[in-house]
Amino acid sequence: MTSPDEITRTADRLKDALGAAADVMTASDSPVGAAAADVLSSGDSLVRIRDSKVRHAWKWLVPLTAAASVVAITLAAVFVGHWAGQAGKTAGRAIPATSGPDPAVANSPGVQAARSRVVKILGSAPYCNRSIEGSGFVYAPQHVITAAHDIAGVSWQTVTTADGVTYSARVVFYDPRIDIAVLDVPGLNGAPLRLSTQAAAPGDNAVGAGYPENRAFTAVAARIATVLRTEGTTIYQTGHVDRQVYQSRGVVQPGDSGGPLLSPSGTVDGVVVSTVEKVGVPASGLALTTSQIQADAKAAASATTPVSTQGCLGGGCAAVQPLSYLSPPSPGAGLVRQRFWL
Amino acid sequence: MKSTSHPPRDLGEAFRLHRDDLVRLAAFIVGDRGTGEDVVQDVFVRVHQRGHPVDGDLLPYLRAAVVNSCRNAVRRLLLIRRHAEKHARCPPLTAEEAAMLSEDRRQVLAALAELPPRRREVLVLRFYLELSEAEIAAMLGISPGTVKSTAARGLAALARALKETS
Repeated sequence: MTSPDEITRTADRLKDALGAAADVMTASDSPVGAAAADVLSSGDSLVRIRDSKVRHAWKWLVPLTAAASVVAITLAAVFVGHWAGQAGKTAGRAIPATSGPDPAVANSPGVQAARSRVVKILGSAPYCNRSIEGSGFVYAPQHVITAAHDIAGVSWQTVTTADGVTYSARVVFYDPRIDIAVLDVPGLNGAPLRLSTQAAAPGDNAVGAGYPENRAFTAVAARIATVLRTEGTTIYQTGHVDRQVYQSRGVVQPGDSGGPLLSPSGTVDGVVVSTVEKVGVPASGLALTTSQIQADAKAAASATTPVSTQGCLGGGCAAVQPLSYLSPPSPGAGLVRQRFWL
Repeated sequence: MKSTSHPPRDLGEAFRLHRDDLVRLAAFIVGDRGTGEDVVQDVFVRVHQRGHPVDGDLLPYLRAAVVNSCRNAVRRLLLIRRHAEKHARCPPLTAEEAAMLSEDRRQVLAALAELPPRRREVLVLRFYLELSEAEIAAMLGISPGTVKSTAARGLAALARALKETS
């Protein structure tokens, strides 16, 4: 039996431990928090963004938690400002009614030719207590770009081509701000994919390429819907970062993240990073634009010195960004949440 | 859920003031930081879109909404764990944060996390928010007697668990 004294002492210890724990729990990032608060005060609606790397378990859960998900997703009305590249002008608030993707582009000769340069990335982050999987592509001789959140905290990783040949790889560039990382892959030959020099425009055809859920190479037809600026934090939720992304229709499956958003001719329009979901609205993906990744790509194109992949995301748990915020240049801001499923 | 005539005009202010506190509350109750953040986010999204039935201070309403959403979240979490052995547990505190606490406090928090959900919920409301038994009863829709007995059993279980670890 536990004595009354012991119960009282336990209550005191519990009170003390909870108070101390609350004191050390870090507060949300303030600039983003402030932006989120502003959006909550205004009449704008909300968007939920989810990283494209959804854990396998999710698919088991879909039937089981369908009802819960439907409720949750319905709560988040897609409301995305429209940024056509002209600063200061907001063209519209909703995703424009461009037609859906053209399935034929997924088999275009350009995309077929790009196939051998799109790679699967597998690795292990024992310190984070997890294994990783994602996609990437060769963009410079023996150098592969992927998303930084794919490989956060990894200690070893391999790169596998569409033909099933596996190479070991070193991380030589890691940018948690933009969410870009570069791997040096000795022995990985073949002409790199070219980054598009011209920005894609709403309505353009595109193809998301990668290895969803660690499966075989998959190319999915997409169509650029908008160009957006997202305001958020680094992948570690430290500090404010603006990024330029394409929102595209009909692209991005779990595990695609880090893979290229290709033009029909096989050049790279962007790097796939996350999804936006809403019931009743066609799925859409977000990809960093090539102009957004240009500086990183250039800096790392011939790097060979290994760099740290820094900390785990959320200590091996799904990392949630605090309410962050998609902004066209001005009023049609939508509140978003970004989630990295690890 | 019923909609109301109150626009969410004070919601931004409430977010600024209370978001972090609500995340702590949810993380303690659910025993999982990411899920706690999700719960709070969803509550704000819901209130933002549907309004709320409250004049004046929103905090009690938001707390009750968070606590009740936590119950569904706990159920979902148990389901996830059953189907995914690789689903990592994400304690309310990150490793860095936990390192700032004494061993003794970490043990108490670990023991709390092992309690059944309802006991944990009542203990967090009682000893973290320091609500009265009557307030907890009203929030959870149970009798004050049930709150009392649940808290007593929770504390006894906690005391036993701590005796074993020390």
